[in-house]
Amino acid sequence: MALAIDIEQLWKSYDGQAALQGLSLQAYEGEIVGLIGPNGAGKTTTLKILVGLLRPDYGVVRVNGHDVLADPVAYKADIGYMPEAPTLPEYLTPAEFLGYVGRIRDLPKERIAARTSELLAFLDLAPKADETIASLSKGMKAKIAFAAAILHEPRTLILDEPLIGIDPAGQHRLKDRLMSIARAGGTVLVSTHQLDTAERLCKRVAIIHHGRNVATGDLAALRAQAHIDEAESLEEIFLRLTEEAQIPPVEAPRRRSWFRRS
Amino acid sequence: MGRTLALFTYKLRFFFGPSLRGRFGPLAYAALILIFIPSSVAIGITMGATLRSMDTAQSVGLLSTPLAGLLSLGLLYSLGRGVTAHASEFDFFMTARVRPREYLAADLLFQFVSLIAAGGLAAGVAALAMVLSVGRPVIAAVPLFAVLITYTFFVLMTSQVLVVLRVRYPKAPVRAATVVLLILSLLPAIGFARPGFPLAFEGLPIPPTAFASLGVSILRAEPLSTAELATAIAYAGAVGLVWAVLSDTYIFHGIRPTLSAGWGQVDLGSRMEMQRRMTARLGRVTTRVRLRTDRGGDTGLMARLHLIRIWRDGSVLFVVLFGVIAILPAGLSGAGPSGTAAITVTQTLTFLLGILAMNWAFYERDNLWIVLTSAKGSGAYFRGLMIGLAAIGMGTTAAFLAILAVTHAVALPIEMLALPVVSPVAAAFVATALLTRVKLKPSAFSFAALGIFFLVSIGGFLGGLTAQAAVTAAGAALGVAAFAQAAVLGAFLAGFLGFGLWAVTRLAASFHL
Repeated sequence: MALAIDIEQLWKSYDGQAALQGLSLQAYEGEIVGLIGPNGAGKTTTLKILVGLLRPDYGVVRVNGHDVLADPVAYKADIGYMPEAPTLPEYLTPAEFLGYVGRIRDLPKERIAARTSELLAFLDLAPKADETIASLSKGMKAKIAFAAAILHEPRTLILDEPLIGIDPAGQHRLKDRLMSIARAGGTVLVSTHQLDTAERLCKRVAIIHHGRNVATGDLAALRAQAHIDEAESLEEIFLRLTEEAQIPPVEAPRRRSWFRRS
Repeated sequence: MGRTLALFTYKLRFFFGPSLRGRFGPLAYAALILIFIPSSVAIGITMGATLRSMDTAQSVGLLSTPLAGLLSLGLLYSLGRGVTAHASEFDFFMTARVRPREYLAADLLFQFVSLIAAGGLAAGVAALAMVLSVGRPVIAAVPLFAVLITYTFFVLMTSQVLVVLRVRYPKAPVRAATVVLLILSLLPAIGFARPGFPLAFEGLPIPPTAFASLGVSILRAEPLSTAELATAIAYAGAVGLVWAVLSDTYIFHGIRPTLSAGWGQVDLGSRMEMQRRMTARLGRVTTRVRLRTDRGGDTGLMARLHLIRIWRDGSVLFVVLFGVIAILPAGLSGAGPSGTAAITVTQTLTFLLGILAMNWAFYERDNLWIVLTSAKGSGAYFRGLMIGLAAIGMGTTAAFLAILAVTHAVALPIEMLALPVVSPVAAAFVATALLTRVKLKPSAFSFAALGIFFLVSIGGFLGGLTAQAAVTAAGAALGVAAFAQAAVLGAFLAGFLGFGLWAVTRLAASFHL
């Protein structure tokens, strides 16, 4: 399997407060990788760096072989992104919004209408296609954001808490779609607090704590690392490993030069 | 009283806090307050000088006009929401043991203090200038200012009473009655532009006239008219009494979040609900206009997106309001077209574009994650924004020219035309360029917000004046005819538009959220 996402030694701080401290992470084609961690662990920061909404202080980020810091635009043609709390242009209708996203994502004009209809039907939003997004519920808005992320059938999906607010049937459909994307060779990197979902959905899980990746692997590997028996759930593993990882912060390396790449 | 005070201070902290704690502290507010002082002095002196040449009845008419304007703004506000409430207040205060009267009193106090803090100094200075201009001692400004303050409180209270009535009696035609009051309060003002108009403020027993009569008595050192004093007291007392009776009505289910620093915009969900109601009889105007994403180029799509946004998110109400303010005086004025009319229209449309730019920064900027996570740059988005804003400004100018042609059957000379034609493009360019660089905190007034508003206006004006100078120079130095001057204007406009789109594309390349 080819490497789709490769993050090495990622550092990022906000006003001197370290958010990422040398985080490294890999995701391969055909797999769903879950990012779990306590609040403020650095999950969203990592995802925002991956999609080009934040610049890291230091580190290497490659998506589908592209160095995203060297060429921060071209690689985006192959990614889809759903933020944690997506702000949507509420004055548009779902059909208009997806059409707009289709244009931005370079979907051929003649395919926009068909693809929009297909996704709205898939997410049970067809009856709401011509109402403004402002009038929709939180869960419906989340579904629209998900549709926008997969509209152009990207090779790599980066999702930040995609299931929040979505009803159980909708969650089921979304998870099914994610698994089919992975089966087709796509890569899904998904941040979530729903450990049972991560346990069932993800092939591998990365536990992020204090801006570091404290453990990555499938359930068996994580159990082995946490030294707990097979009957224990991901929740137990998570609690054990994050407890063990109460490490004092490390000094950050020098900020990357504006002129020379390290 | 304790809860009222707590609610009042929460509102104050929520609205003013982020800015006061910001990089420039209270400087933004100081700038906002001070920037109106020169015009207040000018207005005060001009009104004073005019009053000296008028008899008492005419003076009452003149002073009644701004007071009627203030009342109409209050009535307009009550048609919208009329109560300032932030979403957090619904979640945490309106679900607590807070009596409606406590909340309404806090809101009234907040509105009053905010208004006086923003415009009190300017109004005081205008009163002082007026008093000095009519030759009265400085001390006479105190009762004049007191009359104005009392009137302001009366207007705010009236607005709140109408809101409570609307919630308390949902089936009663309170909105319709408010609209009628609004029209009636403004109707006599037409008498200033058209002297033959049958309705005039003087002689009408309405609040603006009653309070204006008190002001005229102070300015002329005449004893207060018992009848006018009684009328003013009767109105203020009646509204106070109704407020006291109604203010404990449960209204929390009937009000919506409105408190934000944006202009003319409110919570979008409630705005949509309101618009749906308003447009239901007009054939669902807002959603009938569709954004066709399968047509046109990228920049055209983005321009249409911005126009749809302004059409649907409520900003269009501001566009209409400013459009009417800009073009109606020119159309209703008995005099023919003048440079002043062109300047007024330019001033108004640049202010409008400044407000639309601020609204974009408050409400639309966050949506740019969609563009920024795609492989396309944000160039087309910002070019579309510039074209959208320019189109709105140009539309105002076109309406102005059309109304001039209809009411006076004349066209403006090319030199005069240059200002309102080029200013929208210049203002749109400055606005878009600023928006690629300036980030505003939502729900907080700031120095940056003020900067956007005034720089857009100043930049728009400067662009228009430059075009005017070029056209005038072409006419004077080269002795070219009107047709050639029009060609110079067209070339200037096209060149400026091209430069603006190029510059905006360059600036957008390094935009980040």
